[in-house]
Amino acid sequence: VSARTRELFALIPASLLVTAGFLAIFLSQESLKGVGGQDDLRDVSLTYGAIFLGLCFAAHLVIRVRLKHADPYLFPLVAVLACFGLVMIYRIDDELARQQAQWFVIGLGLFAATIIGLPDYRVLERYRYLIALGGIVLLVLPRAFPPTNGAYLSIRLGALSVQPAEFAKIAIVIFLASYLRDTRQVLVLGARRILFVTLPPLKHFGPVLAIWGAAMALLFVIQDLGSSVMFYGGFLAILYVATDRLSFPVVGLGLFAAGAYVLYQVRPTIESRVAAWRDPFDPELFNPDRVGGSYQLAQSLFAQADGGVLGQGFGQSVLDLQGGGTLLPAPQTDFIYAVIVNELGLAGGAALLLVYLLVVQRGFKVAMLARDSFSKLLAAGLTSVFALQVFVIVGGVTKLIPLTGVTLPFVSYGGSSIMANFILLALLLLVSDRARREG
Amino acid sequence: VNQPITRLFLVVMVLFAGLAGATSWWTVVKADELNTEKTDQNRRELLRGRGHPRCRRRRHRGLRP
Repeated sequence: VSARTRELFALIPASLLVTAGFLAIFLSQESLKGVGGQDDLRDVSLTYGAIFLGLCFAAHLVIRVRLKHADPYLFPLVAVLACFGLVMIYRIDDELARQQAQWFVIGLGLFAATIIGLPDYRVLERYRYLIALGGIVLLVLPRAFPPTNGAYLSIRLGALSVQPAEFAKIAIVIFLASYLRDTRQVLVLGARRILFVTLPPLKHFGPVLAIWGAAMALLFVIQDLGSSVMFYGGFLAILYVATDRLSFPVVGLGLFAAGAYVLYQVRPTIESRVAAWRDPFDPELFNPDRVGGSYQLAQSLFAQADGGVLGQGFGQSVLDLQGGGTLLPAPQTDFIYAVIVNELGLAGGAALLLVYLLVVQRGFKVAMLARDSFSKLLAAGLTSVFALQVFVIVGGVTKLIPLTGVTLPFVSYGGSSIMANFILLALLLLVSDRARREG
Repeated sequence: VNQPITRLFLVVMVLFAGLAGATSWWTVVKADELNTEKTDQNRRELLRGRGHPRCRRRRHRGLRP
């Protein structure tokens, strides 16, 4: 069985998951349990499943025609995540699910456009400084708009809210992969060992310090720890893969920790986030109207505790209060993982994490198979940023780290997120196709 | 040449194990405490007792496509 046929067959379970998910939600609607309603439910569920399969099949055809040798599991795994997200968002708000379905189609369009329009992704190296500049502009752009929950992550254009950081992460990774491909040798060759730490020569350490400074500036400008961790973590991952020196990321982590501590002392937004993280049940912080309070995080933990091992069942999470008001804020974006655990329990949450881990494993596999340095660093960087994004938001929702406002890739509601992540997937498949073709 | 990537994947596995561990902590270890002892903040038990409809969705504009 060819790789592409395996990919096609692997899309079927994703479509069945959509069908089963919608059916489970419809069955939980009391109003449709009447006589004759069951047939309608089956038809509607099957229709949604068939539409989803049709869209995925169209994207599969693009891969089949343009990237014959690409990894056969990445796209089906992402389809599972996307269908999971669609079902959960539909369960939360059917209007948002309709919009998310539109973003999904646009995301698939961008995915196809990237694959068709960028047959040799290595041309990106030629424009690395332009891409870096674009990435930085995208990162600082939200500063010109009002903050959301104290952080400058999104910009509002009419009814549309855009998170430029989602696109910036790809631009920054492309730049770093290209830049470190050129400088990796000089970073390693002139390195000196002081005590147990290998330090690169000072003149070449400049760019590393510059990126550390940029991460600190980013933390200061957008006032969001999670995004800074994601970008800086991605940088350290690429730096480590490029140099194979553990001391570089270790020193980098130390620098980041020192900088974050200083900013924690001077920025009230970051300080309040950390305070809410340390004690989310503190009565003073537990106030739904307080910006930077712990109400959201505490409700997220209550929702997860309510889910237990097997969850309360699809559609059984209490999100809103009958008399108006919200019990769990932002369930479709930041806290979608809490809703998933509430309804599907630890089992559902662990299954979702496993799917993410499989995507990450395939991404690193692509990096290992890549034959040239730029491709290797690009695949490793994109995969690392993707993994860190999952870690930052799920870690925040489960109180492992302070909560931040990044999305759960392919699952959370959000056009920017789904579009950017489909571009990321397309780049990974482009690298994979070249690697497997040459190998 | 691929050793750093393998190690990086191991780091990611550890991070994800941390996520699974944290989820287990709240859903298994601390579940009873949060569900029964923090009722001044956690109103889920109270709402359940009052028969609050759990399958409510924010908006519901009909199911038929």
